[in-house]
Amino acid sequence: MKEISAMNLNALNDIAYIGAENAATTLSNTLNKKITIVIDNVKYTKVESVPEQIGGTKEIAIGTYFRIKGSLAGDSLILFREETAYKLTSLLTGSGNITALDDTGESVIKEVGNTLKISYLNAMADFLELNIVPSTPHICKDMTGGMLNQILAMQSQHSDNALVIPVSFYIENEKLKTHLIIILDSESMKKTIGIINKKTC
Amino acid sequence: MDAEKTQNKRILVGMGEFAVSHNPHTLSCIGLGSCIGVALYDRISHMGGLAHIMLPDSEEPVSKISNPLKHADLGIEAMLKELLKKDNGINTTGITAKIAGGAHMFPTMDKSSSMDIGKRNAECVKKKLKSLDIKLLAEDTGGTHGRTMNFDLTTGIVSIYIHQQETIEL
Repeated sequence: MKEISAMNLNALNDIAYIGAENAATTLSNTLNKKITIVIDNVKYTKVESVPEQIGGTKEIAIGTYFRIKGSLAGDSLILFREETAYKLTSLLTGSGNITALDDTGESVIKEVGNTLKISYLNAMADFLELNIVPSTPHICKDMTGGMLNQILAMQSQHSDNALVIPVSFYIENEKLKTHLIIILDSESMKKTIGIINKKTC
Repeated sequence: MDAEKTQNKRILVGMGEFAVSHNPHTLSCIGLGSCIGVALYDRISHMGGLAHIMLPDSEEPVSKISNPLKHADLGIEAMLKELLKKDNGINTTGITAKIAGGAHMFPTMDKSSSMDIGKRNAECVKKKLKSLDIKLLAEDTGGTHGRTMNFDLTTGIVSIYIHQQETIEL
């Protein structure tokens, strides 16, 4: 898979936007709190450039990994910086200042990650008219770079490029930034772009 | 000596890259997961290299690979070539190796779906070093945690930082 067009990126942005809207609605309803989720421009980048795209590798983060299965194959990772994860947990559970993640905190982060990924994959499945399902999530707390290179290595045998989606949560006047990283194998990426091209021309 | 040589510079080595330099510089791989940092050192000339290997040996022809340096075999070969070129005084027998990384970062993920990539990386790196007759002095590989590796070219010491653990020196 080589370059993708500006039009393709627009469509991928639209998918991410719809996914974010749906995730925000679901989370707001579940947690009975006003949550807005905003997507910045989706970037299509070489696997090796992902660390610089998300701003560094040494920071400790909580990562939720899942595999994409069904009509498309790939890997995905949602990264919450440590302090972001604490802030998010304290805002969502209303439990004041949090400096370590207990089981509740971990399940909050897992739940937010799950909602985000399911909403995104549903938006993608609707747009592409494909069946896409996520695997069960795996969670890890460690250096960002360590998690990234595990995922990137697993998938880079099948693909050289990744989609990096910057996601911002707005809750009670706080803005919390995170990233959703999607690496489809080259065949799946080709298929996705093929369908997008058919639908947008 | 020029300024660049005397400055105590830290050189960062990203995924699928390598760097070759001399004392007093430090070469670093930040946040190694399943990747492996391979440090080669010549203690006489204080020259060395650090490669950030992502994948096991390449199976496809080199022409089809987007970045050969990602792979254990090709990355180490390229780094060694560069080291020998820059360091005229030595041959491979004076060079030793230390390696770190090769973890399995998501403990709940079964190893078949992760293709056990960390372990395979470590195996391929060791096999390559052996075939090049480079002595492996020390290693810190495996586990389920990330590592940051700093390679001090003045002493040849490799320090490994692990989150919430004591720093290890190789």
